[in-house]
Amino acid sequence: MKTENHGATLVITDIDRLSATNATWFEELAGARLSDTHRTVDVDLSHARFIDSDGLEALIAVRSRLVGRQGRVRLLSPAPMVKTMLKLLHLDRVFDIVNN
Amino acid sequence: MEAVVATRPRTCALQAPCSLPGARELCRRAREFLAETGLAAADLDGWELVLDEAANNAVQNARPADRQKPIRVEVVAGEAVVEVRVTDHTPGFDFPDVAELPDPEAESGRGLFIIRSLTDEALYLRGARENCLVLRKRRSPGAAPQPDPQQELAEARQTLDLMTEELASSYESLSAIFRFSAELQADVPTDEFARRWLDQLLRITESDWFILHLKDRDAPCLRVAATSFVGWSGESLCLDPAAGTSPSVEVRAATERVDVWFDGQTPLPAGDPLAHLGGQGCGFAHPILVNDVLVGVLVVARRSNNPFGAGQVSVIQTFADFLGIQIRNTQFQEEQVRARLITRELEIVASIQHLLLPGQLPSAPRAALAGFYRSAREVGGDYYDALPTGDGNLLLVVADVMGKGLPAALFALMFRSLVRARLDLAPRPAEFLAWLNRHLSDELDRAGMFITAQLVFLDASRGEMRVAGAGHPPLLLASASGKATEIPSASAPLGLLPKEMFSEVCHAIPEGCALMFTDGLIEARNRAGDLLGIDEVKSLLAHAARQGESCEAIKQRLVQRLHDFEQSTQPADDTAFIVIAGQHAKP
Repeated sequence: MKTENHGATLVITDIDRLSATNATWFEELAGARLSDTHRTVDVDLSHARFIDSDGLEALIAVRSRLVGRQGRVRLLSPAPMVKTMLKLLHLDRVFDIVNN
Repeated sequence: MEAVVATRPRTCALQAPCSLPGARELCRRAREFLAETGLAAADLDGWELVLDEAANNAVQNARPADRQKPIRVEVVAGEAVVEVRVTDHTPGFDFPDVAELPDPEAESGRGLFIIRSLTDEALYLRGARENCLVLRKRRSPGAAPQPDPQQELAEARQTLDLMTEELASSYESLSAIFRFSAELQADVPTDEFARRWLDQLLRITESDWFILHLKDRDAPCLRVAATSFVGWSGESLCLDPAAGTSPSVEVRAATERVDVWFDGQTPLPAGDPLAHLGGQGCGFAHPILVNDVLVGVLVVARRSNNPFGAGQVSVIQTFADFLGIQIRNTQFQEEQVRARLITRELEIVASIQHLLLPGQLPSAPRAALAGFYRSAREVGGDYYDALPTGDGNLLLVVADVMGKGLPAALFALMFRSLVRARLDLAPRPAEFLAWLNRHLSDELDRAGMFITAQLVFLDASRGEMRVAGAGHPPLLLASASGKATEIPSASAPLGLLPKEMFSEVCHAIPEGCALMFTDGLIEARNRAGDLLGIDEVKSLLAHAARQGESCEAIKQRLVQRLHDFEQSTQPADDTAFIVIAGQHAKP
């Protein structure tokens, strides 16, 4: 996983899977990189082959941090499996999904 | 009629350590197996996800005592249905018939919904020691298992290889345990024994490095006991969360009491000293517990990302746990030896102390003497003495060093030596106390202790006694008519005020009796916590004086009363006293 700062946006890329084995790591990484100036976190899920409930709940946890400061989490180009999961769990209504 | 030949279902039994990487490895291998049976890609994705949720649940909710047990998965791929059974060692839970989707903002609770949604049937069988989740789902149309004799033969060979590996691991493990058990008879230091033991472990499990930290017995930290990094002594790891130290898989394993794994996907946390030392390979930190007490943490790892097999993990865990028992036994033996040494030393000090107490008290002018001493522990801080000073005169001394045990006994011995060194001051007890105070103040002050003392000089020619006290209980007097009075001490104990002035009182040697004592006598307690008290002692003395009892009889009366009052409870304080019986006493 990599993070980049684009102004008020924190971009997280290079995610090939987001599951119980690295969900905590993802959450800690995002927490460590987030500053008060960030309003948006963009999570690039275009290469995410696999996501499970722990992975999705880590995304929700990051979103909860931002909601308090009027921020948002955007999921960029989720891979098909991720998209299916978001729909199954009705989370496509919670996150901003950006399809390129 | 055409004969229908049923295809035999293909089965696969897998197990992995109870850890998240272990769970992931299970899912990967189950997916591979299902792919070989011709399952459609969409079904494969679904099963991988369902298995991931079930196996993670088995890891995350495993009972702490059962985290050493592997998770088991059995897959039965039939013609029409695939069945998967996941065995866990969690306390179990009520599996709902219908899984509700939690609130969208909720940060947990979606696993069951996923399992329910992606399978046709889910049963949760709860047992006393383990539970089994049975999941079934029909195959998507057009994808049926194709029997392949060659494939089945290859699988049978693979299973045989795995069984052989498991057996070999068990044999290696057992033979090493027997070999090292024999070595335990030799006098090998614990750390050296552990290092040799773990060097063997590296060889057996094809690992590259290890670090064994042992829990410090006196502080919340782990210290390096043995490592394969030659010349590296490492640093202690603090287990106190308030200390805010660097993240460490070892500290996490010790505090959470679970195996903590690391590999390419779950790397060592930034700042973990291991990342710099061992590089980013794969391995795990295993907490070593004996009877739920943390003994240490063992990290075993490889420099590559080639994961450990289940048999190898089992061997490492078995080695670590066996080593933990040996280390704990050694520590226990050391503690016992140390305790025996301390007890022996205390016995020696106690015997020296008793030897230094006067055996037969000397004859006193116009009086008879009897002494008593009892320590609340092996050694005590009370002291009494009767020292002839020439011309038939006698110096009587009773002292009480604050506290009990060895420190008090040492000061009591020091006090005794000083008293005996300046018997020329005996006729002037107040001056004697001032001299003792000056010579003991520095040492007592450094030790944060003090001494209460009472000196009584029996002057034969004048038939009087001169009394001086330093923060000590009063001298009790009982006339032959049975009237009891006190001569109190107005000065501070020795060691508190270096320039303290002491006064002395002159009194005729009583015809009845007198008593010098330490506070252990009047502060003796019964089972109800009541104090014996000075009034009762005075009353007892008055009665004895009226009866004209001998000093030995008065002593026995006091000892008996003490014994009856305490009702066999353990005395809280040392006790010493001297009975002075006057001329009217019976011989």
